[in-house]
Amino acid sequence: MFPAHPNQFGPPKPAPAWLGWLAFLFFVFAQVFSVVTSPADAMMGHLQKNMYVHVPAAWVAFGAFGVVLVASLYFLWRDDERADLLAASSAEVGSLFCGLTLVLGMLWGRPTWGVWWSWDARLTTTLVLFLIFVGYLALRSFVEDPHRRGQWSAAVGILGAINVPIVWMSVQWWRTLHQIQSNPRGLSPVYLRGLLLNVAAFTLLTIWFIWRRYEAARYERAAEHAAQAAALGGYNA
Amino acid sequence: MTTKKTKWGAMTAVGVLVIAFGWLIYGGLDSNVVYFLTPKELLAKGADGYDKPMRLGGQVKPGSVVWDEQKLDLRFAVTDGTGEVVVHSKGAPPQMFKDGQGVVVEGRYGPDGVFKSTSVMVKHSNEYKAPAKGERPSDMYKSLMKSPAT
Amino acid sequence: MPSGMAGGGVGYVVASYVITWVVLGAMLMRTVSSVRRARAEYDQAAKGEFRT
Repeated sequence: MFPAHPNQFGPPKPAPAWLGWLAFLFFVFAQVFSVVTSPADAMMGHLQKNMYVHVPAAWVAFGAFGVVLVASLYFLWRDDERADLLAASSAEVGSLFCGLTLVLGMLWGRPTWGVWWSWDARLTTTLVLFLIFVGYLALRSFVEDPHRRGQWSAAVGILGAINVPIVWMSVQWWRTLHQIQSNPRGLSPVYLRGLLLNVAAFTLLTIWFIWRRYEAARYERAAEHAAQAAALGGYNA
Repeated sequence: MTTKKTKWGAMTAVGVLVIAFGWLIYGGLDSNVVYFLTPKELLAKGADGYDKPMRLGGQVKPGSVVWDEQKLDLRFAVTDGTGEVVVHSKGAPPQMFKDGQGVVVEGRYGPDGVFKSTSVMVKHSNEYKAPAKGERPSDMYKSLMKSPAT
Repeated sequence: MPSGMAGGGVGYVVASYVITWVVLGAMLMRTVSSVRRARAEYDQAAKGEFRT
């Protein structure tokens, strides 16, 4: 289960090709299907369709940061570099979706609230979450030593992920311009179906992105290990 | 390869992180804990509430909206059920502004009892309803927009 | 009153979907090419290892 030298790992096990095809075909299906079948909302017309991109993007970002938390803790516990690489891959994918959430939220806020941005608790905590993980990625790219890089970024990753429940609860704890989480009973079934379909599609995509990015990171490290081993005279684990 | 460039980069990254965490732990959220006051809370402040930049949140009191399209002059009352404050604003309100709608307005409350607003924001509910049969959303917007002014 | 919402805010919705698709498409390209590049790099390094 735990190799004696966890950090002398070889190449990764590639993600199955069918997962990628499934993720992308299902994504295209979910998006087209939900947009085509949704009638305009009684209050905000077609703007409701923003729900099929903004909400899933936010949820998968939170999920990816959750993976960062678990992988970072595991790295600190076992000193297994693979966990650090997984945390980094998840942080990258999470940041991508978190940034997307912010942009899509602005594209909804402008026509609905009348402003692109407002410094309310939900929006601000989300921005801070995004900045923390952008900082995480910047930090990684500037620290050379893999072990130190792993420890520093694990600390930042864990602290950053703690912000996720704050973001989630912000709409309950404070009076925000942002509405509270939609209750399934407050959604017409057709919207709920579209939302769940897209959440599933975004989740699949996220798993695939993280897996492939992790795979690339594993190859990079394995190549470095192999190069080092070659320099040391043909060490071959 | 620990060059000057990487050192500066690392310091910038750490700086961003320190600011982000610092904001999170101190100050930032604390001063924004109450993002807006309700009319009741504003009125309870009395003279303390005058001429300070603040946000006021509540519902647009049905029947209170007076909109002058020529002068782009908007007046309405914000209510929370117990108190109400008259709001005066220049410029067109957001498209979803209507009677009974939740709103957040930014501006200053004056001794004359009028809240001079620089920005009117519509607070959306967390409910989404497909329109009933035969109802066209675009028609609804038009009727919503017309009724208050006339 | 302005009636920008008469069309149901279609422009904003279209922009949301375009941005989502472009961003995810770019991420797809980046991901696939990074795996390819890293794998080639590894194969190269592994060859060097076994030669010695």
